[in-house]
Amino acid sequence: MSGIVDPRLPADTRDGGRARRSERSPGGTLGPVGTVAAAVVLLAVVAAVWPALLGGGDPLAVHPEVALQAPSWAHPFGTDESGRDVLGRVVAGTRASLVVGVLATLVGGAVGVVLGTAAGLGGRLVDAVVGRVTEVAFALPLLLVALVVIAVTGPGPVPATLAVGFATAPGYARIVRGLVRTARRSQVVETAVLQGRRPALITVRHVLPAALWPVVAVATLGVGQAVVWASALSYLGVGTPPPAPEWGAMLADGRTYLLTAPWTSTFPGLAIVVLATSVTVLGRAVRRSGAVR
Amino acid sequence: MSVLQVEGLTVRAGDTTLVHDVSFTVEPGECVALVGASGSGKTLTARAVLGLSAAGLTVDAAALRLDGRDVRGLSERRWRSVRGALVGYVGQEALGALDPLRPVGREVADALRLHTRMTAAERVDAVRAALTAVGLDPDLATDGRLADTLSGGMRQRALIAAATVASPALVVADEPTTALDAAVAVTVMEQLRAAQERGAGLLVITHDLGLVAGWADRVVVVDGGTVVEQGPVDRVFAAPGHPATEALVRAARTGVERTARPDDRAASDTRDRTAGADAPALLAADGLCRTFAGVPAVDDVSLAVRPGRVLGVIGASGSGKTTIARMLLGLEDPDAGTVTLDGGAWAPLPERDRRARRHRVAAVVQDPGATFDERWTVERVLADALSDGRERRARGPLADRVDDALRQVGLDPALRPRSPRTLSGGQRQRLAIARALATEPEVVVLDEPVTALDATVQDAVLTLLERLRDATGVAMVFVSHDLRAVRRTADEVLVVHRGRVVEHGPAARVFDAPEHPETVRLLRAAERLAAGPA
Amino acid sequence: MLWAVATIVFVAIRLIPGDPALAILGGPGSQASAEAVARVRQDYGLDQPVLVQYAVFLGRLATGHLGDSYAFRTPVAGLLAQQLPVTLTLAVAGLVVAWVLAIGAAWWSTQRGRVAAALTGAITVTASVVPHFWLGSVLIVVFASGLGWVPAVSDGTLAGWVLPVLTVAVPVAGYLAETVRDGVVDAQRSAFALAARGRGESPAGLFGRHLLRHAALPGIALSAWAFGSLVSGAVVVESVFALPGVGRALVGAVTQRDMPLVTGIALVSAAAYVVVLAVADLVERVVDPRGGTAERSRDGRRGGAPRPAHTGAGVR
Repeated sequence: MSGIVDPRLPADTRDGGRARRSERSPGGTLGPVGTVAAAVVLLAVVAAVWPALLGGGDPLAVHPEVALQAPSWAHPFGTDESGRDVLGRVVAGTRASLVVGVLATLVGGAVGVVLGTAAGLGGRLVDAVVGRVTEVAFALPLLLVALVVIAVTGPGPVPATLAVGFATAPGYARIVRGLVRTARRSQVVETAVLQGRRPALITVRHVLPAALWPVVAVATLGVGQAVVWASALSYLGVGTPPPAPEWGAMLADGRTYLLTAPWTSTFPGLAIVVLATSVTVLGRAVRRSGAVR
Repeated sequence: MSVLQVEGLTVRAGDTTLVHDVSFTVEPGECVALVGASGSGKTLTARAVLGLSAAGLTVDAAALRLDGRDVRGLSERRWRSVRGALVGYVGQEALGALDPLRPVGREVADALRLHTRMTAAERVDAVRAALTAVGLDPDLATDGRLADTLSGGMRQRALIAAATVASPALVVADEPTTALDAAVAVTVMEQLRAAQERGAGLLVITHDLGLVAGWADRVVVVDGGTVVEQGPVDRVFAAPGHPATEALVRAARTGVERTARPDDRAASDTRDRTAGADAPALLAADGLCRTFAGVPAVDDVSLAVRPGRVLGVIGASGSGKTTIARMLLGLEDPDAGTVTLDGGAWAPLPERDRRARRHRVAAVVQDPGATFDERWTVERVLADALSDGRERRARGPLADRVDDALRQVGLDPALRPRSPRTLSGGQRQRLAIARALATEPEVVVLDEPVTALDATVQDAVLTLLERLRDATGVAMVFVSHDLRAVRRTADEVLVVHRGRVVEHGPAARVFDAPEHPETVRLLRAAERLAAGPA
Repeated sequence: MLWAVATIVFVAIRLIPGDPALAILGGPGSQASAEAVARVRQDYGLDQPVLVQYAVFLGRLATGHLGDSYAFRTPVAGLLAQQLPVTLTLAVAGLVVAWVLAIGAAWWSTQRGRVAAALTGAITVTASVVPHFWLGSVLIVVFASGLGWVPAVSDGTLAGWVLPVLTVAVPVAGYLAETVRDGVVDAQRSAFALAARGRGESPAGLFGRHLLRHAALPGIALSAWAFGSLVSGAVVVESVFALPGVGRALVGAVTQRDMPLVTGIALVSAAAYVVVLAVADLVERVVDPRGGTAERSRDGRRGGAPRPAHTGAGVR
């Protein structure tokens, strides 16, 4: 299940977690780019929690008489094939994407951390078993697994979350395992052994923090990916069922009208790209500001 | 015409001036040493001479000429035609300065490829000649071998070949012998000398005045970004004019003269080195063996550390000293043989059976920076060490103990809230020593404790170790390839060669009247290094 | 490993609700008589206990029998032989194009000044999260309908491949570009880069002869792991561009509980992954001929020798 979570760490989490001086933003702030990204994410959160605040018509109200109208003052993003206001649907769809993206990352991260830590701390047998499991997991394409999961449980946001979560877990597991093993061999741990500290104490104090903080950094990148994959599942018809507004599903519907009414696809697609990019950029900016190491 | 002429060189980073008004020259066939402590600005100066200053630095000079050519304000493109052709550079990190993924032969040939119009065949011949000149196998030019198949000394020689193959007028060597043991360092200096004898000017940058005392013609002493003294090396050595120079000379003399004139001891060293020589062993090893991938790294080594005495373990790089140290500490299990602590089993033993006694043995390593958890402060390091892992902060009586521990190693208690990673190398090592002594151990194992430090700092830390030894009566195992350091502190010496103990005896006897050829070789190398070319 | 994959597929398919017999007879909507269902059950061995079915399943696989697709009534092997090449071509071509783009992006973001670096950085970040299905549509609108440079859907010509391959490649290129760029920046700070510059090496020479090789190493391992993602991407892209690959069959196969087909696809994917891993390993060895180096991007196996840090020169 290789949803592409980069099993390598982002460069600025190495070297003890301090960003390179040239890349660090001044005075612990987010920097101009990070601030813009933060604003976008904040906007998305508002849209998810209180869609009505951001305007746009009722996402579910069907008005066949105004179907497929180009963007205008009344409908800034135009209308779709059922006359629904695209802007309203895009705003309303934020919740599904954001929630699935974040939850899927949490699921994947949690599972991955558990597996990876077990593999990293355990003896050869545990490591080998977990290793085989992740190998097999990597071998199966994400979509295959997601489709199977959804075929078993039926479509919907929860199965989509679980599917994407399980698909990304092996990536996290691999990272965590590598980090744990490196930390175990570090000179810090050796020194603690020389000082006579007990293994449990060493693990909790030195190994786990060194291994787990970088995962937070990776996870912020993972949320962006998760948002995209969740939309992909909806696009294929196995995510959030209609008529609930969901960006991927809107893109699927809009495909037929790609040439005649491109706005039905453009805006949902842009929304996906903008949200995913902003989350990723925000994650990087937070890391660089040194707030999370 | 001078090979290098520097006048009024100034390097700035924004508003801060890092190097101020530096002036000196290098003549053809002459060796000039640019000497100073870390942070004195010598590396910045060297980089400026090559046009390799880091981005963000501004370089100004009244005059900067390479072989008569004005290189101020040269565009990067012009600089590229100068580097490698007019000036060769041998960097300080020999281990990483050869691209590990590229054949060594190609690396050496680069300067020819970039600056001459030789055909491939001609280049191969030139490279073969250059390799032979530095004492390496000429086949290296074409057999595609990578850097990791060469030892540290061989790599450094290959770097010199790469820097000199196009016969540049000036060769700049930045810390060419740092962390290399004496025998290897001698060969490196000899290669540089050979380039010098072919007519090139040689600029050696180093923190160790003792190194260049024998090899350089003139010395330029840098401190705080300016030149504080310069002149012929003998004169500077005999009559230093500036405090910085004095510190450098003192550090150098401690090594040079001790090795050359063993009777000349500092007045404070009235220690009776034979006391306690017959006491029962505190830490004893018997028949230790360890093999890695079929190669024996340690072969039947036995030793005894007695209370309050210092055992020096010397040998060339790769002789197995570090492995012995790690086995003594219980970090690695011997394949054969045992280690006992005060008569009780120590290795091989499951860690849980050793844990209760860990406070009796401590360790100090070459690079302590990596041993500090990056999230901990100085305060936490010592609070943790003094309270056996229980405390994170130093409050009440513990705070006093932490301050005392800091003062004992010469650190200011004001450093408590700092992160160890922000301290200088010398300060970090002092902190590591404080941590090691926190549990009042009976034995401390030190593995190259001062090798990575500046000469002046080495001097200070060794003095500290001597003082602590006298104050606490702790026994020490001092493992190092640096004979000068061991000579100062050790009562007894063990010489290790290819994993075996080849000589053992009181320090005075071993250094004055060595018996085994390997010991003789090590001593000679150290003398040669200090004395200069034959 | 293939055994594990097969078992997982077997278990998963069994978990999917719905009667396979009905699926064989034409899907849940078919009005099959009870007799027909019973007969199908018997024919296909679906009335046997689970463990027996499992054993039969494995046995057939071991002898290379992938069985017949329930939905299409034709041998799975045949179906896959037709469709798989398309998907695999798309994935492989996508990977190649992604690498080319990634190296180009790494060059632009490290050798051309701060503006170029910032711009390229923005593009790669965005690219790495661009959804395939949207990108494909946009490319169709712009390049096919708008500019008419290439056909909108595949029509068997080489030009028909341009957009699909590009669509698959872009997200992967985004990720690879980040990785390669990081590797280049890291390598730029190394001692050998300084030594090379000290010899008068030009930036282009430094990039091509030194930096790129080091930067590419983590990317090679990443490519292997990302291959599955590429295949998933290919699946989506096929539906956008109407390419006759495995992707389009996959969705239907799962929803119709067409076990033989799903098994076949899963096994082939796993096999492809194994092959890709082996190829990546080979490529890595070519780029980095050092033996047993600690820089191996997969689990760094430690050699037996102790840390050489203590003896400075690391002489062995």
